[in-house]
Amino acid sequence: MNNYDPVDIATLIARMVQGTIRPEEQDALDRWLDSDEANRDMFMRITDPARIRRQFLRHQTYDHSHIRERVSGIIKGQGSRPTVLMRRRRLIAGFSAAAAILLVVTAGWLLNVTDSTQSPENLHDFFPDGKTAILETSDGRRISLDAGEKMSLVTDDVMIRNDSGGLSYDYAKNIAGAPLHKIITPSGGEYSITLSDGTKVWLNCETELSYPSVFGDGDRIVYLAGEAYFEVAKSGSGFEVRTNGIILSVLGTSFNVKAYPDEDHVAATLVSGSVGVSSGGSGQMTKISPGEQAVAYTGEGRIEVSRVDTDDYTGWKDDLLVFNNESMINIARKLSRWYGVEIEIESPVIEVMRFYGVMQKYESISKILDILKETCPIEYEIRTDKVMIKPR
Amino acid sequence: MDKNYHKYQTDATLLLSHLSDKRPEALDYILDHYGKSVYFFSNSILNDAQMSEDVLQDTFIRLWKQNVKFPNIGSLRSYLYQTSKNLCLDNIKYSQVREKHAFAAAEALSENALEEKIIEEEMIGEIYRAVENLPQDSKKIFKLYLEGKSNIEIAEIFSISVNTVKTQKYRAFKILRKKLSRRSFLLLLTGLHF
Repeated sequence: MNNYDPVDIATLIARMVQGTIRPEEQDALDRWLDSDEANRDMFMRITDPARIRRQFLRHQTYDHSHIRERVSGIIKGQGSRPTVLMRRRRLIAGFSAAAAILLVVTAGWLLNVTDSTQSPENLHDFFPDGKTAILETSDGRRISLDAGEKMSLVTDDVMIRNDSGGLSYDYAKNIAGAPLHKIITPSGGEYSITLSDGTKVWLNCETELSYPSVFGDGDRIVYLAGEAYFEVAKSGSGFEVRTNGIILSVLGTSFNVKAYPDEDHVAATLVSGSVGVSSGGSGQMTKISPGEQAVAYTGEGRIEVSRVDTDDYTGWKDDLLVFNNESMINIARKLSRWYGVEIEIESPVIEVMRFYGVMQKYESISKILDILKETCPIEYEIRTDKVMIKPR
Repeated sequence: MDKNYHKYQTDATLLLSHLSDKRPEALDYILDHYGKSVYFFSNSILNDAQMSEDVLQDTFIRLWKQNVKFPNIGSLRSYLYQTSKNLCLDNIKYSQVREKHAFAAAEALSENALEEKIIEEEMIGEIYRAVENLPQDSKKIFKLYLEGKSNIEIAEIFSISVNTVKTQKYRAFKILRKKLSRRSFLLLLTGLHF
């Protein structure tokens, strides 16, 4: 904390919370955070949303006007310090549900206000839903998951917990024939899950992952539709991801799989370890090394391997939207999944335009499109049910 | 209310020069904008509402009497915290509050703990003041919520759908939560080329 004025630090944090911080101020704040572990801990403590809400409400409800009267009486020499008996005690109103809603509004509104360019039609802006998913257990129960809502249940021979870190299956000894569970993320949602063998999986939006509640003795097999990043826990047995007729066979490994049913290929991007890709029919396996990507065309049996920057393909897991030489039609597809809104491109010329950029994916869609606008000759219009992208 | 009161909002130099000229409206303005922070900061140390109000009062009396020249608002804000901190520590030394703190004292009154309290209160204060300083139109919306208007009523007043009101509220809050997460520090490369 040394060499920093607490008032300055407070200003920076307040601006960050409100979203009005400038890049150079963010740098200064980052330097402060990096300079001492204790600073970071403090930062986490005081920016806890529930805590901010509570503190803000206290400010809202405390009326200091009697103090102003006392002070002005004293400085004008018309009064002396009042005695304790004369003082009115102000009750600080407790935290109520109504007040909570009030603050939600305040928060949203702080964010809106920070955007001076906001026009009335941006009332129809779209935001992602965030960390949310549905868990389906073997008896057909569907449980809504929201990161941050603590929950635990015991079902199908395993203890399952949910908290801010996502869904987590307690480590369990192998059981043969354990039933399948399924976790599903909606458009605009994402979630992370730890399986019973300790394997960690991040699910991007519109993704389904099926897995046994407890793995058996043989290979660990999971079924994927959509996009997920895996950190496979090492164990005696292999791990397989089956998707769209493609099988990925791995040992302890970190890799990303993109396998949306509406796309004609499965892309596996390897960060560490090793992965074998085989196309269901042929049985022939292609091995890839870290930094490589295998694209398997479903139904064709063809597999292409190339070197890539893996960050481009795993950035979504770190709350980024990454477009590296990506065509507008692909960008529109990604945005459509993430913001849960239909996107219509009005001209084929725009569809093939390519774009580079890294953006924070929890911004509103209008923010993202504003940035695209800066380098592409496009205009956009946000309607209640869809987003139109047109030539400029 | 004095007409200068509104000017102070945008003109800190005027505010500070009026303070050193001992114009009461300048002190009123500072108390209205920074008094709550001083109060809550003091209360986080003293854990006693009445004593904290005394500290708030005495902090501003000192500000009035001491003729400190402040180069900017930041230094004024620092002064308010330093002064109230000293007054709080004096209070603890000389009063029965001491007993309340018998166990927690060392921990709660360490330099680091006090600094954290300043940072937290001032952060909340800055957010609160930002809300207070909103333009008139935004304030109107806010007042409606304050009056307990329902989503439906607000939607009607602004001719937007109830769903829009609901999702905006819900999603904006989610976004705020995101903004607070550690991950949000990932560098935002707004634009363009790698």
